Amino acid sequence: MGNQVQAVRAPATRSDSWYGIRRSVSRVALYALLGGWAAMTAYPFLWLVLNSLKHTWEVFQNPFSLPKEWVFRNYADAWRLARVGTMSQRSLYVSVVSTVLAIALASTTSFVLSRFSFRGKKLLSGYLMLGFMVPATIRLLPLALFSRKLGVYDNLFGVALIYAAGRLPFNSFLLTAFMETIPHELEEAAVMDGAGMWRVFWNVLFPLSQPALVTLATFQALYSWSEFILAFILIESLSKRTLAVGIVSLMGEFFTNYVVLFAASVLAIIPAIIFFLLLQKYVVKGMSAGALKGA
Amino acid sequence: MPSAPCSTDTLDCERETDRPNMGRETIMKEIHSPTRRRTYGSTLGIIAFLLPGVGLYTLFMLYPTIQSFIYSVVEWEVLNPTTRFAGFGNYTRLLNDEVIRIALANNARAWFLYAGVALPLAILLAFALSRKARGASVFRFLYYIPNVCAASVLALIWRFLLAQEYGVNALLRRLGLGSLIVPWLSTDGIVQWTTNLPQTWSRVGFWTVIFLAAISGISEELYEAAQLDGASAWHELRYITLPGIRGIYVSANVLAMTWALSTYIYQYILTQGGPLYLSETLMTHTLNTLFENQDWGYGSALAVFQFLLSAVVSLLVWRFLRRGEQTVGGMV
Repeated sequence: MGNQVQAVRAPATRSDSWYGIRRSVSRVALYALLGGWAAMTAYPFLWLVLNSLKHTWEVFQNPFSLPKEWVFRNYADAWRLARVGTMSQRSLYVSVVSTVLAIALASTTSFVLSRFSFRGKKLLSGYLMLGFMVPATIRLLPLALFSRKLGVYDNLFGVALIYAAGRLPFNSFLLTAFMETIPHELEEAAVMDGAGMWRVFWNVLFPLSQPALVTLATFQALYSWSEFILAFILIESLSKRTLAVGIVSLMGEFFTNYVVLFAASVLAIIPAIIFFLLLQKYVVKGMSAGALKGA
Repeated sequence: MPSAPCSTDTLDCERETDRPNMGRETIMKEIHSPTRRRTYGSTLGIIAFLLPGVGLYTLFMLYPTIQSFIYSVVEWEVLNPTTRFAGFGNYTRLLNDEVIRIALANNARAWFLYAGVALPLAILLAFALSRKARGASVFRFLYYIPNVCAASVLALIWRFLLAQEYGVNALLRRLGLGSLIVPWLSTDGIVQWTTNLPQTWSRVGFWTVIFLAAISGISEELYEAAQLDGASAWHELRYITLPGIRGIYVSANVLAMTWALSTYIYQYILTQGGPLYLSETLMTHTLNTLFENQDWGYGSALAVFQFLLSAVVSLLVWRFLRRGEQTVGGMV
């Protein structure tokens, strides 16, 4: 058997030098492709950061050179005058609350879906999957009207709650798939000790689902930080605007002083990028786990 | 309000399928053994666990969706829906709406750029990254960044890049391509594409990560064997990578179609659908009808139309590509 493998792994029959040249040519093409797209991706961000550190007049004169004078004051102005400071506090609040709620809703739902069989279970899964097909627009007007009656209109907690409920299809899909891979032995031991449903859930399944919960939380937090249309429609007061919405409304206000707007934009995307940098392995894991939908 | 289907369900305990004829009481009394699992849980418990998630999902997802269907066919009294049926006038109005035709053409452009440019580019990038490129994780991180940034903020950046003299146009001038300078967001024939380009740009990285994950599931031995046979990179891509990622490719296409049909934020922020409706999409048209014109009956009909179109088209794409999988060997 070993000899056979040796025979199969014999060197290529083509001329070795020609083969080597061809491989190095394709190596060059490979890096040209990767580098080219990297430049395309980075260009708008570099442009933004560079110009956020200039005076307004200099943006117009030399949009590509380094700033003649580094205007860090733009960032202080963005934080206070453009209210990025208070807006990001609100976005942070919405992200944290919606993530905690999403974990609570998805983990209880997925616990049942992964651990019990009952009549109508397939129907229930299908009912949840329906949510993947519902576009944001169709919910907007009814939500805007009846959220007033529920008292969650113009209310950051209400927005967080709607984010958590709206992402349940995606979250429970991800989490149920993970919980199904957890072996039954541990919970059986707990049941032997007289644990009921709640204790099995809270002491066994929930802690064991931690990797999937981190993935879920990462997606939910990034979504909540960036979501635009629901926050735009459901939050009326200027004093409650989240960052993703508030930045856009700054456009009129800082139209002549756009370097402040650039600095505000940098401040809005930096936390998401750092967050992603720290948790990217969970994002990648979630996406390869079939999280293609709804992300 | 429609109640969740789960609330009427009776339950039995886990592994019911193994013993379909046993009543719940019998199962509850079972003694733990390696083959027969000790069970726990009750109908009430299951309902209690499902209630928060399924209840809030119904309240904030399904209930408003059904409401929109109703809003599109009832009479309105000064911004208040009545219970009086008004007929399907809003739907016949859809047929004569010029803007819908313009909008659908722009949604089709969005789809073309996703399916015809972003997906092939993402497959190429993922293939290149999978071929043990140095710094692959740095590239992957960089490519994905637009997907973690708020789209509204990215749109704002692109508005400055495209609308003003110191963005893309300044770059062209610097590169000696001054003759190519045009007002990107106000020229008919160009604005329809430029409003769709930023989202194409932003999604390439998303699909690259997806395809990279799919490629990493392909056995490395296939590539080794091909290399020993002197296969070129093109052959590896054509005969190993592409067939190996077919399933994901189908899903990605369905997603591309769904996203293309719900395209709005760049149009909303770059041009507000203008100039003269030229860059409207189905969703900006719906949003403008609902919240600018406050034409709530017709806006709801537009929203329902978008929902149904999106559902039908993704189903068709799914079926079409799945069928292709059975009859055509290659991927493209």
